[in-house]
Amino acid sequence: MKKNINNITIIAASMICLFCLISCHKVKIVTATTSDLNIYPYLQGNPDQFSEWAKIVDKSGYAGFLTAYGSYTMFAPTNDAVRLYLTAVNKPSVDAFTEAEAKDMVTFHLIQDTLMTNQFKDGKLPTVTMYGQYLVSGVTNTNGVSSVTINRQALITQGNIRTGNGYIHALDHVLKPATKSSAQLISDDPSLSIFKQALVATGFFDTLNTISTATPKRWFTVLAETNQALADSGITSYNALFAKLSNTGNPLNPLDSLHIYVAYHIIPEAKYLADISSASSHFTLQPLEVLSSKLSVEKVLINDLEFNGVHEPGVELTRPSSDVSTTTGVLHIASSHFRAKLRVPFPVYWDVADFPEVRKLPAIFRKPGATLDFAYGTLKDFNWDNPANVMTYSGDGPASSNFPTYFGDHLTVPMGTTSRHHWIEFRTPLLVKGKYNIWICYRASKGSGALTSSTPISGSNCPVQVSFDGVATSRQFNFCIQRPLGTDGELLALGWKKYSDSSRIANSTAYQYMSGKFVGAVDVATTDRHIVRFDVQPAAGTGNPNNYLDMIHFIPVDWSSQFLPRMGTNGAFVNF
Amino acid sequence: MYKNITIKITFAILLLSGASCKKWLDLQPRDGITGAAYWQTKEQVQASVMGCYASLLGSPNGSRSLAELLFLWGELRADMLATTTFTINEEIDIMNVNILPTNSITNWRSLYQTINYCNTVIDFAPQVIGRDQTFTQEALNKNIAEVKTLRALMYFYLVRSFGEVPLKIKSTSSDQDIEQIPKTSKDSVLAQIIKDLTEAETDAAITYGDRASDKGRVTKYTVNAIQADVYLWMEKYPECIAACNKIINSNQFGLIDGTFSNTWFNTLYVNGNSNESIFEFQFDNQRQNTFYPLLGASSRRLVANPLVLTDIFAVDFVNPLNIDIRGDGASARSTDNMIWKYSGLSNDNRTQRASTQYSAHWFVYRFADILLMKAEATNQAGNGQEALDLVTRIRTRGGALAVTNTNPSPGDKDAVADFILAERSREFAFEGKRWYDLLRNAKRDNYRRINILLQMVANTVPPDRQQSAIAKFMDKNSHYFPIYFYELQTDKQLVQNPFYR
Repeated sequence: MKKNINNITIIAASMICLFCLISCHKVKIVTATTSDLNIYPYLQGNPDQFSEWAKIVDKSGYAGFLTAYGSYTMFAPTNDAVRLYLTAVNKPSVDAFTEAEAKDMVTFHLIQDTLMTNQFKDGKLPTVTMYGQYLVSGVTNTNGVSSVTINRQALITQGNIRTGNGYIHALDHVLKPATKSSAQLISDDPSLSIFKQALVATGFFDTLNTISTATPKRWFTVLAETNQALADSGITSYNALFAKLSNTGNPLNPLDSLHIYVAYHIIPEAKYLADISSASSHFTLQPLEVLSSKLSVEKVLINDLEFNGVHEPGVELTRPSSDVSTTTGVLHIASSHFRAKLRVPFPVYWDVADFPEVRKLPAIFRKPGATLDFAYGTLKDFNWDNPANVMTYSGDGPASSNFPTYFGDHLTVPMGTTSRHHWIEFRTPLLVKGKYNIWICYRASKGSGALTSSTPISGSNCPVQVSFDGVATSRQFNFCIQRPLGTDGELLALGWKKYSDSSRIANSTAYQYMSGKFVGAVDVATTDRHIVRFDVQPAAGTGNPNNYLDMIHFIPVDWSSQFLPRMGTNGAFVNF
Repeated sequence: MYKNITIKITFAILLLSGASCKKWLDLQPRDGITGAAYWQTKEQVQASVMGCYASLLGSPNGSRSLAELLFLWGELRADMLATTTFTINEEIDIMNVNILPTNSITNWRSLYQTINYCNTVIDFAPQVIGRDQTFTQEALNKNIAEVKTLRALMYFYLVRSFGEVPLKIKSTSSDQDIEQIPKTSKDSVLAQIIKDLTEAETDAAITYGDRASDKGRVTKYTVNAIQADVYLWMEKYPECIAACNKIINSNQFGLIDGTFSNTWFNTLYVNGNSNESIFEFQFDNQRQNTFYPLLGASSRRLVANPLVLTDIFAVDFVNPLNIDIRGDGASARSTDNMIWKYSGLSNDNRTQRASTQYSAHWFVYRFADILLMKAEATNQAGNGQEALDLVTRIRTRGGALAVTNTNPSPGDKDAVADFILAERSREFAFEGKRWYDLLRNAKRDNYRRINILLQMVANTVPPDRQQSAIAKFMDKNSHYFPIYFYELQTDKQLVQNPFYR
């Protein structure tokens, strides 16, 4: 019996063995989540294209982290590109580079970010290279074939190669970092000699010649004027420029006009033409003076402005000679002479109901009885919190006794803490830098309850805090409170004015609802367009639907009158 | 003994049950019809042809519907759209001339699906002759003409959008038919289109007896309209004029009167199938278009460029009653720039369609198109005055503002061509034609007027990408889409457009 059991055991065991043997096809178990190679292994795995570059990466000692997890973008020169570079720098082979040289080369080709070619713009890439200089992308067309260029030095021959830790873009040339500072480039160019002398005299030459060691690095963008541009304005030598501009005789003095002139040509950031044309204003080294910029079809124009109703033609930056990367930033060439303008503050009587989008609609704009709701996002210069809300334009007509508004129109801006606007932002017209009083001019009205000129009030309530460029003004105003009675002098002392022509004619209770309310004085730091914001206050509750905003006045604090001229329903200014 | 009997009985049962198990071996599926069992009656042919049309309305497999795709292809690369905060990156990339082969809008699958349905009918419908005695050769030819025209239309969109595409004119109906085929040159694709259309023209029906079928199915006039468009694209002007004349001289079509803009808008766009229409995709409330999320919802992804109403249609600042009826309230709504052709329910009080009412048709060809194609061809053939007369007809109907009349001299071919191009942008705003119009005019005479595209892109692309976009458009290959990466993976014979390497 025991033998029998033994026998069975042996048979069973051999059966199991047999089964195991038969079933022992190796099952491939995938242990990696992806078969994508990382950047360095990819370079090694494609020796026909990248063997030389892989050797340089190896030499630099960076192969380790390029094999590991991370997110990088590498611009990898092909073997032909590396050979071209070797010939150019007179080296027999890649082994001749020192480790430091290899490090510089690799870091200049490497970005700690994943960038595909569709993120490239006409200018610097969004992230700086590990070397510390920005790379510039663009597109060129040669013989009908368009290719992406990097730093105007190399073309991408194969883009967006996806690897496990980032993207590789193959290049037909090795990229070479800029070696000269902005100051050096300017002094090397004889056509910029006058501007160079001005830089030296004002002390900015050293600013543009010193590579920043701060973290993050400081960059400067220079808009240099050519001798020709200056000559067009009648300035043929540095002495002529000095004679014309320097009012103190010492250009090193920050108050000297020549100093201001040069400081106004330097932007304390790395801005390529694409950056300049996609923002409307840029700070300069001259405190509180901004350069305004815009793109007119293909031209980048500086200080092309509508000022006080007059168009001032701008200065073009010449594309072919601009966008030059330097070790200290970027160099652009301006086609004609420009300098900061001395402007005196003047009052801006801003009709908020006059904006480009409504001007396009002749059936609505300033038509009695016409109203139109503008949806969220359709108005360039207005913004508010809730996409479901609208901004309503209403035409009252010049003959409306109930709404004697300026030019017979106003905006209806319901505000409240629930479903109505919580806040609204307006972009002002151009304000010259200076100190201004802000007046909110509205037609007081309430959804429920009787209109009064004092707090506390019953029924609808809508107190609003105004802020200018994010700074709250000293006083609030309330859409549901009308101005009190009194003479102009008495009202002014209380912070009110009769801004409407109609309220002057009948100084009675009849036009008390046409209210101009002083909300505070603000310092406008730069000559530019600014943001005024209304924030409804918690006391408003559900708020008020009948907020009729007519105008906002910015009147210099030292202006001859804060309440004159008054605004006529036909658009006329009335000076008594 | 007992055991023996049990075994025998068991065997007997097994034998019996095994013998009766024939049905288990039946390979016919129970929930469908196989190819061999199909193609027996004329009704089945009819159903397959209708299936081809149905595929125009939407894709069963979840890819973008054809009408939406044609809208995106025809408008995204041109100058009449603007983005919202909901626009997806793939759409923005195409608007900014930043197309990668991974952009799913460049997936041509919806078109090839319809092409395969057409190929299936062409391959199998002839078998029904003889099987169904009531199915005549003439009826077969009519059906074949319909699907050949649809196939030609699909290839025409493909060749204009991608340049070179694989030409598949045999159906893929079983696993054995799957093959990897390379791209075919533009000329060969166009030649195949012309061949299909010529064959279809002889056999196509003139009418099906009811309005919806006449506008929603291929008639002889549909064939002529596509012919005109193809010949215009191929710069064969006499042939284009001849095709247009066939439609004009049939006296079956006219322009819808524009005196009352609300009636005009309702007839032409809201209801569709008007006397002006030649071929439309027949959406209805049961089978809606997909424009609600794209153009109508509060989270709409695309709106009209604000310049469309002010610059293209222009505004009379003095007299607000003097308007181009095709502008505000027809192409777009001025208050929020919503694209109104597919979202609007009325022209005068600007009522929007509810989300359950997005049934606006997709307009493939209208009589106005025929007149303007003829104008373009006659101008190129050297008869500028006749071209201008045709444009005036369109302008008068639409109430075009005098500001938009550039008054070109009839002898100045380029000026007249520009004028026609501008008029087409007004007449066919958001009908998926703008990009092809721009490209056709730019590429004429070996890209003599590539500036049309360069100027267009300088104004549409954001400032920080403008120079790149202009430089990219100088490369002719950039005017065509890349092959979607998935197609490259599955068909190793395909070669990517060199611009997208």
